[in-house]
Amino acid sequence: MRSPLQPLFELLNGDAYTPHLGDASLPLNRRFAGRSLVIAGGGGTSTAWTQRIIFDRQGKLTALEKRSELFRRGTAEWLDHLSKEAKETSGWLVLLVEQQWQATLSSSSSASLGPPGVERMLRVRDAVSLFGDERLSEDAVRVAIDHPTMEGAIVAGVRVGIVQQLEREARSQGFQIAAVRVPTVCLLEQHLARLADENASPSGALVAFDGQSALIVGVRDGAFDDTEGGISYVVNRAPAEVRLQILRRLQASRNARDVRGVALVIGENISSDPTQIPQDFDLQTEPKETLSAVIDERVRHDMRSELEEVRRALPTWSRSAVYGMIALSIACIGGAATHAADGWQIGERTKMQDALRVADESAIAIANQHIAAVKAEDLRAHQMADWIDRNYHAQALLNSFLQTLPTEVSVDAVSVQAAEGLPQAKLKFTLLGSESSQRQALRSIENSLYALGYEVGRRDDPVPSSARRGGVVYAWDLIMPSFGS
Amino acid sequence: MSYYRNTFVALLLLFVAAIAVFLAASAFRTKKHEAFTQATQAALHASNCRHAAEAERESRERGIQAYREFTKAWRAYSDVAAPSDLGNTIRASLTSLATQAGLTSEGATVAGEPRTYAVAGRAIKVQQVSLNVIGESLPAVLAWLGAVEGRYAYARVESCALSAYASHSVQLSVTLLHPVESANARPALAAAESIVSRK
Repeated sequence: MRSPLQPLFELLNGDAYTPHLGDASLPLNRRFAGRSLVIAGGGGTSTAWTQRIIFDRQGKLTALEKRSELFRRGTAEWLDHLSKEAKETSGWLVLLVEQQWQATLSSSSSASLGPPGVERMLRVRDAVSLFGDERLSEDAVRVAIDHPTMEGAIVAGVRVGIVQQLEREARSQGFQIAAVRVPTVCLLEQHLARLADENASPSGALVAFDGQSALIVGVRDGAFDDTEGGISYVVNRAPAEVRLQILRRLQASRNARDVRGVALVIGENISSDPTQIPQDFDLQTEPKETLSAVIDERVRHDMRSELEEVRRALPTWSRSAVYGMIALSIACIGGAATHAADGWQIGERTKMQDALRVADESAIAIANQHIAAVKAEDLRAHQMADWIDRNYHAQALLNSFLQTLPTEVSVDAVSVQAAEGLPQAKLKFTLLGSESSQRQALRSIENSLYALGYEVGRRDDPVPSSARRGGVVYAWDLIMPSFGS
Repeated sequence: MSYYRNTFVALLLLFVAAIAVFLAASAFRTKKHEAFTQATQAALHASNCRHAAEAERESRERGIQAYREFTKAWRAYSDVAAPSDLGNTIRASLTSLATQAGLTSEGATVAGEPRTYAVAGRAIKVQQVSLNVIGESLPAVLAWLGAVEGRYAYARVESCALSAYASHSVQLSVTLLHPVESANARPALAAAESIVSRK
């Protein structure tokens, strides 16, 4: 089961920008650019061989190693050979089914099933009514080979049981299957694709022969000849008999004066006698070891039993976009972490500033409290200063008053009443004696008061005393001296 | 491309989230920086105010020293628990001085509550004590008055009336006003003294 994080890993390690090795919609050379690949085929059910090929980074074939010796399929020697090949290469294998395949003609083109790709191949497999008949097994894995200007298609198939057996054998030794192909079908597909590229149509018969089996397709009037004998295939026979059958067919064509055609041959010639091949036949032969038709990028057919859509390679520009986005995300997160740490440090410094401010405000409160206390103290002190400043010395005043009186005058009573809040007092006294002596006494009293710093502000009119006969009551307003003056 | 769609969406969300986190962190830092700037300015202002307040305190402290010595002097006479105690203390003292001088005292009264007295536009609480003393010698009576003024140097003789009392006797009626320490001033003074003592 695929991990949900697999796409992310592929985006990060770069695999997403290279084709998936199992993508049947891409040619082998693009899938395995810069990698090695193993081709495995067999001349029959009992023989098998392998051949390593290596593509460069541009998808060109750079090395084609020598084909291995024939093995007997299913033996321990063969399995060991497969295991060794899997370990020494990329571990991907192209299986060639050189025999045990079938073919027929379909009146329908696979182009009607959608654009080329895996989905079209899967639809061909499912569309039994269009691409199958009695010549193909019902459970065959079918492929359709088209030409864009021709109606109909060449349909080839291999029984799914055979494909699965071959796949199982390869997978058990560590291989993954890159493709399952039929060499003769590869020859036809390559030829038709080449003609399509040249805007040409096939004419005459098409003969494909890979040394093990042959496929003969009739073409008449620009269309596949679906009359009886329009297509035939020779498989599961000895190579000599296959050649004989091909020559018989060609001979039949010569008799029918339809002698034109193309013979597509891998490796050995159809016949050692060139005269047996009609002169109008275009004989196209390639060496057996080149495998050019099998790995040609125009050949796309794939008969893997579990063919499925796989991820497509992302365009090159997306790599920069993804890496840029990830780099920007990391930069943003790094920047955010830096800002957050900076903000946190600033917050701590703010707390220190707040603590300093609180300490200062506390000191200010204490200082203000102290100032208020000092102000109160200052006010109190000034109050007392004013209080004392307005005080007077009562003993000195009375003593001075009494001592300055002449002997002819006596005092009946004397009182001092200080005025509230003012440096002023009311002096009242009652004198006894003659009028002249009282005047003299008044001058003496006034002088003594002046000597003490007092001033007489106002003198009430003297009035007779009600308490003492002959007494006169005097009332003066005294202005007191200032404290310390 | 659909194979990577969810991953692309996740990466895009991560990218957007990273940008959002970056912007949030930037806003967080900006906010913290603004708070730091304000805190720094407030701290600087508080520091300046503190220096100004401490300078004013020291200036006032220097200016109050002379008055403080004076205040301590008169508080020695009035530092009693309650104004009524002050009145009774003064009355007892006056009576004692009269007895010591061989005078007879009578009619001693102490006002129940201190009265508010206005001096130079400021109110001051004063305790009033009245007393009559009778003696046969005028100098003795005057000497008693001098002794009273000496004992209570900051008291104000609100009134004094000297008159003849029977034959060969003199009567002096005196009303004293003694300042009572303000109830409001006392805590302030105590606080000021505690602060000064801490310094």
